[in-house]
Amino acid sequence: MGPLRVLAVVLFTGVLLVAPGVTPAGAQTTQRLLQDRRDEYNSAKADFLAAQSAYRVVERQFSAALQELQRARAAGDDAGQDRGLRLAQDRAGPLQAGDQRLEKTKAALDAARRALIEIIGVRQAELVAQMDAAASAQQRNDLNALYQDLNRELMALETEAGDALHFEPVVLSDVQADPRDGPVEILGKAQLLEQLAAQADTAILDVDRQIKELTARQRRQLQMNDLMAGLERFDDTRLPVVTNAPSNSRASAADSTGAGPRPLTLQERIQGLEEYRQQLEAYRDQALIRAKEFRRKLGSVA
Amino acid sequence: MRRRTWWLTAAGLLALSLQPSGGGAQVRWQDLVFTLGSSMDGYSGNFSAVTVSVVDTTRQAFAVAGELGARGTLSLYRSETGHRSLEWSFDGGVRQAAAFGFRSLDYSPRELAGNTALSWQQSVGTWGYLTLRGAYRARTVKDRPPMPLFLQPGYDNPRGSLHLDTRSFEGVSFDGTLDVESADYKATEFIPQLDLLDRKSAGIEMGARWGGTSTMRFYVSARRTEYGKQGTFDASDPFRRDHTARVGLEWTYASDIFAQVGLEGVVNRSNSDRPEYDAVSGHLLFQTPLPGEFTLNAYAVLLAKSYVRTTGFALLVPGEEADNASAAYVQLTRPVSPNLDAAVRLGWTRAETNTGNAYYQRFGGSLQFNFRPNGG
Repeated sequence: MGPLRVLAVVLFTGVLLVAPGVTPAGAQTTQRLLQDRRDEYNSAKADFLAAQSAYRVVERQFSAALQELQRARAAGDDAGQDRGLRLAQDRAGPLQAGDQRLEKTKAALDAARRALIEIIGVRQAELVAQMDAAASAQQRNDLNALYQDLNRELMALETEAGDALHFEPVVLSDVQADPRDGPVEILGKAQLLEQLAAQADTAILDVDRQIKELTARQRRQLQMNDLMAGLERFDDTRLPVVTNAPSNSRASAADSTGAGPRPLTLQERIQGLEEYRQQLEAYRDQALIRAKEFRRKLGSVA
Repeated sequence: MRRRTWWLTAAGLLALSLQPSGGGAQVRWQDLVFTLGSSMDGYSGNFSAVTVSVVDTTRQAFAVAGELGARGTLSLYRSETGHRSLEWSFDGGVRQAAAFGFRSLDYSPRELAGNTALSWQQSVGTWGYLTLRGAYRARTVKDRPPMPLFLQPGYDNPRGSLHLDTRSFEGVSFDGTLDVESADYKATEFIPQLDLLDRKSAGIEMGARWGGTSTMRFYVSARRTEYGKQGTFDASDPFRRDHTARVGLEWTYASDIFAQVGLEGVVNRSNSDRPEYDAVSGHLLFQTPLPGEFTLNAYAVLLAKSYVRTTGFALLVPGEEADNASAAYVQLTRPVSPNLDAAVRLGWTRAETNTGNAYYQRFGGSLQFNFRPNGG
C-alpha cells in the first residue's frame, strides 16, 4: 500500500471516528465518484492504447522509408535516394505527431490512474468503517469481499504504473526479447537494430548535406537582400527620371519554394530539416541502445 | 528630444537583438542587420534639376561618404499553424558625404532615411494568403548640393496595400495587389518647386506565376496618380492627373545560381499633354557563387521613354523626367565571420534627355560590412 493511500485511509478513518454515523448518502457519493473515475481511467487507457498502435504503424512506415533510402544509396540510385529521403521526411511528421500524442495520452492515463487510486483509498476507508459498524457477520463478510476486490484493483493499477505497459515509444517494437531466444536469435535482433541505426545515420548524412546547401543558399539570399536594401535605403536606384524603384519582392522571390499554399521560406525549410535531423538522431540512439541491450543479453547467454 | 528618442530606439533594438531568437518565442527577429559602409562616387553631366535650389556651372563633382544603417524584421505574432502572422519591419540609416569639385563652394550633404512597415498575413481558406500592409517612408537631406551631384530630395511617403497570393491551380498561382500612397516632398522657402512632385496615387496589379525552379510571371497593372500642384495650363482641368498601364513578363531562375530578367511596357496618359509617354524597361538581377566563398551579385535596369508630344522647352520637371536611364551595380560579397559579410560594390548610372542632349552620370564604388547579431 502506497504512503499516500495509507494517509488517505487514516485521515478518512479519523474523520469517520470524529463524525460517526456516516450517512449512506456519503457512501453512495463515493461509489458514484469511484465509478466515474473508473470510466475516466478506462477511456484514458483506451486512448493510450490506440495512440500506441497508431505510433507502431507510423514507426514501421518510417523504418521502411529509411530502408528504401539505404537501398537506393547502396545502389547508387540518386533519384531513389531523393525519393527515399522525401518519403522518410514525410513519415517523420506523423512519427513526431504520434510521439506527442503518446506523451499526451500517457499523461492523461497517469492522471486518471492517480485519481482512481485516490478514490479507491477513500472507498476502502468507508468500507472499513462500515465493517466496524456492521450488524452481522454476513454483512461484514460481504463488505470484506468488496474491500478485497478493491485491493486487487488497486494492486493491478499500481503494477501498471510500474512497468506492465511499455509507455515509451519503441523503435521496432515488434523486435522483443523472447525467453526462448538462443544466441543466434539474439544476435540477429541486435544486428537488425544496428542496421536500422546505420540507416538513420545515412539519412542524417543526407539531411546534413541538404541543410548545408540550403544554409549557403540562404546566406547568398541575404547577401542579395543586402545589395537591394543598400541601394534602396538612400534612393540610389531612383534616377533623376520617373521610374519605379525596384521592390524587395524581386529579391525575395528566391526565398521560397512552390510547396503548399504559402511557399516555405528557406529559413523554414532549414528549420524543418533541423527538427527532422533531431528526430533521426533520437531514433538512431534508441535503436543503438536497444541493440546494446540485446548484445548484453547475448553475453550473458553465451 | 528627437535625438534622445532615436538613441532610446537604438538601445531598444540592440537589447532586442541580443535576445535569443529561437525556441518557439512569439516575438523574434527574422532578420536584423547593421551596416557600416564607405563610398566614393564621381558625378558628371549637364542635366538640370528644377528641384535643386542651387546651381553650379561645373560638369564634374565627386563625393566621399560614410554610412550607418540598420534594418530588420520582427515577427510579432505567428499562430501555431502559421496561418496568421504579424510582422514589423524597419530600415533606416544616415549617410554623411563630403562633396568636392564645385565652382562656388563645397558641400557636406547628410541624408537621413527611414522606412517602417507593419504587415498582417492571413490565410484565406485553402485559397492562399492575404497580406495587409501599412508602411511609412521618410527622408531628409541637409546641405543638398547642386547638379551634377544628384540626391533625391526629402519627402514623407505613407503607403498601404492589400496583397493576395493564391495557391497553385493546376500549376499556376495568381497574385493581386491594391495599393494607395501619397508623397509629400519637403518644400522650403528656397525650393518651393519641390511641391510639384507631391502626389497621391492608387493602383492595382494582377499577376500569374508558373514553373518550379524556373518560373515565369506575367502581370498587368493600372495606376492613377494625381499631382495636385502641377498645372496643366487648362483652366477647366487645372491639375495634372495621370493614368498609367503596365504590362510585364518576368523570368526567374532560383537554384545555386539566381537569375531574374524582366521586361515591362508602360503607357502613361495624362490630362496634361506634356507628360504623356510610352516606355519600355528591362531589369536583370543575377547572383552566382564563386570560389573562395565569394558571391557575385549584379543588378541592372534600363528604361527608354518616348514622349507622345514634343515640347519646345525643357520638360517641366526636368530633374525628374529624362528620356532614358540606365543603372548597373555589381557587388562581390564574402563572409568575414559567421555573422559578418563584407561587400565591395561598383555602381554606374546614366540618364539622358533628347532635348538639349542633357545627361547625368554617376560612377562609384563602396565597401560595406553587414553584421547580423543573430547570425545568418
